[in-house]
Amino acid sequence: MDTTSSRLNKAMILPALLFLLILFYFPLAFIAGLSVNAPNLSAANYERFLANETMLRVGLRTFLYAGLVTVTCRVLGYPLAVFLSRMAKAGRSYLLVCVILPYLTSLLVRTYAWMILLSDHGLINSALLGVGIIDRPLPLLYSTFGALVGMVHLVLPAMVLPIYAVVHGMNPEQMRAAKALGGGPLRSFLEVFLPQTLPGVRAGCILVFAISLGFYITPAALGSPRDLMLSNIIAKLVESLLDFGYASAISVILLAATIIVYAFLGGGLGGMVKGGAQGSSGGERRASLPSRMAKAVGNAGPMAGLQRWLWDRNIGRSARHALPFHVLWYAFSILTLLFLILPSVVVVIMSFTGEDTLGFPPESWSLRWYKTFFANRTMTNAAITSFWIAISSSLLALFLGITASYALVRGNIRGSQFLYTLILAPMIIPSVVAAVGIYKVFAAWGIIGSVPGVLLAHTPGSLAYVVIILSGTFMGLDRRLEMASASLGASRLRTMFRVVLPLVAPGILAAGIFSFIHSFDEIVITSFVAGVTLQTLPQQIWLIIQYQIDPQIAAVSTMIMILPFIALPFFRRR
Amino acid sequence: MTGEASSADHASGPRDGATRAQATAAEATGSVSAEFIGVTKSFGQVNALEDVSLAIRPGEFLTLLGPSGSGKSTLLTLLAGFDQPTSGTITIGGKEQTRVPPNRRNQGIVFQSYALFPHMSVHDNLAYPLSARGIRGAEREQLIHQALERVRMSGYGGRYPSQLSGGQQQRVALARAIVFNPPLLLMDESLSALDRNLREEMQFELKELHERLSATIVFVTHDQAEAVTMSDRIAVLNKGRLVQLAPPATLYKEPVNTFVARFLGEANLIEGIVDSHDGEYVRLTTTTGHGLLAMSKRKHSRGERVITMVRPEGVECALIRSTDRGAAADAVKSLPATVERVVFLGDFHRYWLRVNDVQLIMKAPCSARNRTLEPGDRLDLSIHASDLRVIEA
Amino acid sequence: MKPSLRAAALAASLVGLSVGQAPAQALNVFVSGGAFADAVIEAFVKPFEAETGITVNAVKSEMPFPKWSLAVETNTVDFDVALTSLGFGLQLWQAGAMTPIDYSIYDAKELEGLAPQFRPEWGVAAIVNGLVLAYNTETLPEGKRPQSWADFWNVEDFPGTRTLMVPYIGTSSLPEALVADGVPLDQIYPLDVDRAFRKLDEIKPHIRKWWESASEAQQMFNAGIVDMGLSFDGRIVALQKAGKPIAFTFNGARYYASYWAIPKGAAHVTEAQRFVEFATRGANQATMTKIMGYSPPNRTAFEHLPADLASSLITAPDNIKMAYPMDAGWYAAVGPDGKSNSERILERWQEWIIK
Repeated sequence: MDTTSSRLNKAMILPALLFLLILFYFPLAFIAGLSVNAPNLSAANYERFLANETMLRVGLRTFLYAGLVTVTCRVLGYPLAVFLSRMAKAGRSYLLVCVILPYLTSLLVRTYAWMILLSDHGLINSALLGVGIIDRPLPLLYSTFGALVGMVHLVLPAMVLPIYAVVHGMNPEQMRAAKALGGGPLRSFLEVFLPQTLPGVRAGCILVFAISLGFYITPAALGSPRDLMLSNIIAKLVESLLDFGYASAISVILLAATIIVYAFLGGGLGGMVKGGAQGSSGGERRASLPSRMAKAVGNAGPMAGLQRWLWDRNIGRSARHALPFHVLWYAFSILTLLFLILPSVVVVIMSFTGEDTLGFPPESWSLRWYKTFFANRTMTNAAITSFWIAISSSLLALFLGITASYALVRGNIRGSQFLYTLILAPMIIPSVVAAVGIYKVFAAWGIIGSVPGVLLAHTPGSLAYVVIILSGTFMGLDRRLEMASASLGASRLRTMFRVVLPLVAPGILAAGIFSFIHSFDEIVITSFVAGVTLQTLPQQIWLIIQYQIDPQIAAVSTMIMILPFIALPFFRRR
Repeated sequence: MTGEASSADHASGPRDGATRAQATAAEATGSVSAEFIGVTKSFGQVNALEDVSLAIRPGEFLTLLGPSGSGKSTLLTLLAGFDQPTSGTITIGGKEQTRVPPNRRNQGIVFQSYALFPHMSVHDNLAYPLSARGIRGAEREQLIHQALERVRMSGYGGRYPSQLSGGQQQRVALARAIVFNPPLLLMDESLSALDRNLREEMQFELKELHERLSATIVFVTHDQAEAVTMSDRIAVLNKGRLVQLAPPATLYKEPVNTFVARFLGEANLIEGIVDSHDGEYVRLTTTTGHGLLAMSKRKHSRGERVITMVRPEGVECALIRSTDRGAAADAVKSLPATVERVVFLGDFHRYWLRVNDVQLIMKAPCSARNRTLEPGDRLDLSIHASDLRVIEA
Repeated sequence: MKPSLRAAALAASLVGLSVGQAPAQALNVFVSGGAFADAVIEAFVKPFEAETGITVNAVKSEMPFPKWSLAVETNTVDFDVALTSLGFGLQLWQAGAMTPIDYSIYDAKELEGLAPQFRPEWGVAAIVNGLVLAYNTETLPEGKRPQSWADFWNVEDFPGTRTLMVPYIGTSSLPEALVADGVPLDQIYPLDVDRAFRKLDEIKPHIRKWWESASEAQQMFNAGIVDMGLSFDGRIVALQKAGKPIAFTFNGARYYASYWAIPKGAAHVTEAQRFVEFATRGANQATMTKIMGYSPPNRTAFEHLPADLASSLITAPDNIKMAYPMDAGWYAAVGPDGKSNSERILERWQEWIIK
């Protein structure tokens, strides 16, 4: 790119950086100061962590679980994403909403649904007992298995959507390789199609890994007593011991360890950004060792392994007798989809109960809990407030995120790996730690308890989602289309709006959905920043479920789930 | 712009957008010259282009030819405005354009991958450059219609690129690049992705189109045959330098050095020592000890070591012999050779011959008069002085 | 709409949202959420407004403990009254983040109705929670239902899935272990931590889930996931009202209160003091009890309660004899190493639980 436009491309990262510096890193610096006991510097908090064997073990487990969740999501998510991209347009959008259903169901309600599904007398055990596969209930709930199921379920959409966005934005010619999927030239799929989708896979893995590191409610609620995560301990330190220093020291360690893991996997951060730039300029110049390793992991990862295995076993040798590959593929995808929507289905059914408490299956049916919601001014007002905050916060995040990811992918910025990590950090730092810092700063600015305050506090997290998803999408975008546009006389603005943005629209939509939901579901930072006049819906839901097992929560969740289905026709017209 | 007066002086200054573009598009055609003056482009330590000067004449079909990595695509990229030279200047139509961004250069570009916008129909792809120039309504539709007709794609306006075959996409890409009647059309390996038949068809059509459009076309390829068939002139590049700029026939017959000689067609290289120099003629003794007469454009001094080149079709069989003995000691211009291999090519025979330790290729027409030589046959070769050229290493 | 127009509309709506504020002079009271908050508004807020003419902005939200201390520290206290637990209340008081309660405005009889532990300098008890042994009467037949913590520890004679709680600030399942081990109720504190953990070792393999919140325990009983275990009495009563087959015993139960407290730096201290006094009067607490079924700390409340309701409350004279109060002071006590007993138990727990 010529130097002026390249300078402009580089500069496009500035709004996001500036925003994060002011609204995330400035507050965080205060917290980081506490961790080293500023101004009388001391490493005591860090020594304390490193000397504690329990803490180290919990830390190790945190990364282990995050890795396990990431691998599982890749195995489940890749086939599903490709399957979705091959669906007819109309049905596809609805299925895509099904994919994000887990995100739309409030955390606590969803956890309750899993309790109902996984318990000893729950649906799954009853079904297995009924069929006679087992003769005593499997300990699914309150086991590591339960924790992993809950976590995978929650983050699987974060794997599926980025991959989907890349596959969708791929050149039609490359799509033909996918279309040949049913026909048999699987090798071309493995060698042509799969590598093309790697930016999406990488984005998905980074996203899933980062979110998984921050888990603590789900493993605590569904896992065994041993399934403690680092964030769990950090949250406890802040919430009950007011030990900000130690908590922030552990957060800093968590962040540092994450950066090291990503650097080792290379393909993650810079590899992702640089890899794309190289890909578009025609050849990989010098792949660093880590990025080559990441490539190897990407290619020889479980999914590719599975596909090769299927090829060798079924199609390669006895193509006539084996099940057609695409049948297996479809079956696998549909099962994954079922897994995604199962808890939501339970929630929807429970919402129509006539009983006073949640139960499955309901003993009587009614709409009373919907009426309760609409009769409740606190709830409806909170819903409206949350809606506006989420909309404005995701628009802001989209603006900052689109420019930033474009700059990261096209700007050829030195140190893009580092910048990428900076943008990712709000996702990894436990929100309760960030909340303390943000409160301090917002208090000084006098924006505690205001709508702008809350939405600004939500935006760093949303921004991380947007940048991860969109940098994957931009990388999948053929750079020559932009060059073609310029050569045809289009200004940068026209190129952006007529060519780039329409082509990455699926990615923007995915990013928008994630950032919307991130804000719409945010509770920890909100509880600090919201003052005495501002109430958000998740806060209200959380409070209700703290005090009663109120089916109203299921009703609210059901209505939130229906929203995107209503909104769909508007998006589909495009 | 400071005022009316000055805007008249710089009528085609890049900034007054729509008016100028509209004028250009409406004026139809016209062609421009383009010139690289001392252009160097470095990426880090590596020089992709080194001090390239090249003048492109208005209306010509100029091909940039070279192996991959020779700098031909970089040259095109600079001409298109996607990148800027490290040093040197580029003028288009006589005006300096070195740092003008691509969207203000009014050039049509056809990409190797076509780069059609997948989310737009064929019609919308073609409308795109026109809208960018503020051309709307009936005029726009007229131009689109005309362009589609030119590439014989009328009636495909409603299709999407994914619904077209490779050849059709190629035509649409071409139509999109010419729809606004750019005076300069750049084509980057534009035919490489097509299969052979289609490619030849398109080569022909493109040539024809060039005549009708009267635009200057700069075409990049690594395919010599393609370059030779289509171009008015070819610029051969190697390792970031311009090696030779000439019409195809000249390049073929009078390559300046071994690189060009080998890159364009087959070349027999024979080394020798200059005996004497007379006008254009050089008398020399080959390393194999035989005397030859060659042509050269340079001055040579006696005893100078030179390389000569002759095309396979310039090697002629003077005499077939059964034994060594009859060799005429005074046959200065003849080379005794042995046949090593023969390949029958239908209209031609190709022979691999050996003259001591030098291997030569000879192409001889297959006709009833000529008997086919067999491996092991011995013969005397003659090379006409005008076929034997002294070239640089 | 053009993008710019849309942005303008959005900005306008945002301004509209932040402008819709409560009256500046209103008393900001955090009333927690859900049905509990509704009950607080019904029993305390509305009658208080009617009696005093002071406008109350009942904030349906919890006050996060760290936020309380941050607000005081940064001088941005925007609330006047909030509920806090005993453990957190003590910590905040020690940290100087509380306004002392003005007991001089109390009626003598009301004051006497409040046991000393329910009226520390920094707060007045709002409700009393009992942590009781609950069990499922459907899955457990007669005779197999535990009636004491010793029964609960007896996994041979009382089979079933079990639950206890994880330690938190000022609370843990250590006391239950000591009760099961035969420690008399009046000698539970100071906790013999080593003995308690030894006793917990016995039951550890049989505990299916250590719950983290009251709602989690309630959900487990509701969904039939556990057969017996520790839970809050109020939560079990709620389940019983919904027709769930859950019963409990006050035998060996532990009780503690939630407190109304006023942060340091509150804008309306005088009105806040009046609200706290109003909300802790026996008659008003009785109203709350009638709505929610939670036990009133003020003994005078029983004068206003029907006998059958009174007998189900842990603060009723007959029940409270079987139970013992939680000693938050012991948990909060800081040793020579600078750590409180709470912190020490938490650290030991983390190591113990992942073994």
